[in-house]
Formats: sequence, C-alpha cells, structure tokens
Amino acid sequence: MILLLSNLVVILSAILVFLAVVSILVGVLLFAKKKLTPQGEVTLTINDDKEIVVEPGSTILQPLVTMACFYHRPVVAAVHAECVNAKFLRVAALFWPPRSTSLRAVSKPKTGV
Amino acid sequence: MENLISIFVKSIFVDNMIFAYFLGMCSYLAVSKTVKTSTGLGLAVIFVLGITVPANYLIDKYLLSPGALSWVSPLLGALDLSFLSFIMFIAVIASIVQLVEMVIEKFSPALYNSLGIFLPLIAVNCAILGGSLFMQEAEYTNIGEATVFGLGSGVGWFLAIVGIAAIREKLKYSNVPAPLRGLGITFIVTGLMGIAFMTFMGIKL
Repeated sequence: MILLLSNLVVILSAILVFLAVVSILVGVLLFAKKKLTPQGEVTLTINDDKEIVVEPGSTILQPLVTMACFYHRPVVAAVHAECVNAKFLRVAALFWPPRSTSLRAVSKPKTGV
Repeated sequence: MENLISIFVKSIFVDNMIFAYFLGMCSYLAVSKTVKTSTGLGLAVIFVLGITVPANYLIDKYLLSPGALSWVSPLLGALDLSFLSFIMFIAVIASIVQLVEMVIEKFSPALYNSLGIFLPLIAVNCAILGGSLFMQEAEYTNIGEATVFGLGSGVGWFLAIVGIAAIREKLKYSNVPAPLRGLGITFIVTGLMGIAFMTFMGIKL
C-alpha cells in the first residue's frame, strides 16, 4: 500500500512538472510568435488592376502561381525574392514588363544589319 | 573566476563536441561547404547552447534531481524525477530552436534561407542534447558554470565547423583523388583535425 502510494506520488508529480514546464515553453513560443512573425494579410496589387489577398510569410511566387498568373521566365526569377514584411507591393513597378510588351521588345534592340 | 575560465577553455579545446566526442556531425558535414553559412549555423548553435544549458541546469536543479522538489514541500524531498531528464531537455531544446528560427527569419532572411532545413534540425543536433547531458553529469555547482560550459561547447563547435568550411573552400582548388572527392576527404580532414585537437588533452586546467 505504501509502495503504491509512493509510486502514485511520483507519477502525479512527474505529470505535473512536465505539464508545467511544457505550458511555460508553449507560452513563451506563442508570445514570441505574436511579436516576431507578421500578422494579418498582405495585399498584392498587380499592374494597378488586380488585387490578391494572401497570407504573409511565403515567397511572392507562391500566390501568383496559385492564382494562375504566368509570367515570362526572367520575371519569375525576379519574383523569387522574399516578401515577408511588405504590406502593399506593386509587382508592376518592381518586376513585371507591361502586359502588352513581349520579352523581345524589352530586350536590347539589335544594332547594325 | 579561474574556475570559469578553466571550464570555458576546457569545453572549447579539450572536450570539443566535434573532435573529442564526434557529436553534431550531421550538420557539421552538411553545412560546411561555405564559411559564411557555417558561421551562421555556428553562431546559432552557440546561441542555442548558451540558452539551453543554463535553462536545463535550472530544470535539473529545481525540478528533476533527487530532492530537488524540497523547495515546494519538505514532503516531496525524497522524490527523484531524473528519469524525465531526456524528455524535458529535448522539449526545452526544441522550443529554444523554434525561437531562434523565428528570430533569424525576422532579422536575417538571407541566413534563414541559406541554413534551410538545418536550422530546425538544430533541435536534433546531438551536440545540443550532449551539452545538457554533460552538464548534468558534471554536476556544476552554480548556473554561471553551466552557462560558461554551454557557451564554451558552442564556441568549440563553431570553431570546428568554420575550420572545416575554410579547409573545404580551399580543397576545391586541390587535386583530390577522384574516389575521395566530397565527403571522403572531409572525413579524413576531420579525423586529422581531431588528432590535432588531441594535443590539447595534455593541458592541466
């Protein structure tokens, strides 16, 4: 009986100690997450006419692919930059050639012949 | 003060995590291709060891070791919860690593991207758990000693990974025999560095 009681005390105190420590750690992590990671939603504006509301924290390419916005290859490479903290981003101004312009038109005109 | 310096120097050179115990070899071999990335990982390991070892020291001293709970009630003085050491230490380490990940992602996205999967994998880096377990075994008398031991172990790991990264950067221009290129020559160089570090074992501190 005494042995059973002492084992019960050990088990109960182990559970209590474990729960207390893990709760403190989870509390610290939640506090840090609230303070360190961006909260809310991010609005992407493409060429002043299309707006996408996305979750922050991923690459800018991800929502564009999800929305099936396909670009020329150089643009995709440029879009790969991270946009973690931006609240408002003008993709048109940063990377995108105007929609009517083809890549050939953007590249340097050939001289000579 | 002399005692602290002795613990610090000993944990860097004599009891080096990589060269004396061969702990944390996974990320040591995988992230040691460039000095820049390995410096970042080494600093992250110093930070994690510098926080987890004293945190685990407090948990061990006031919650887990035999008679540690006597501060709660004299009736609990006979309790020995040291069987919880592993799970508690790992829980603390995993939480601190998550914290470090958030801090690095916020303040240095470039380092966050270059460390990639190896940043969350610090949680299962055996050098980190090894630091806490060695601390428990050494039975340090105060938290200062435990902190210095943690930082020293981290600095030792940092030195090792930055050293091997610098050597690997130079090795790119060497004529290494084809079968040894890559990990083979890295293992050999690590062994040679381990032998070199054995010379510190004669130091009496």
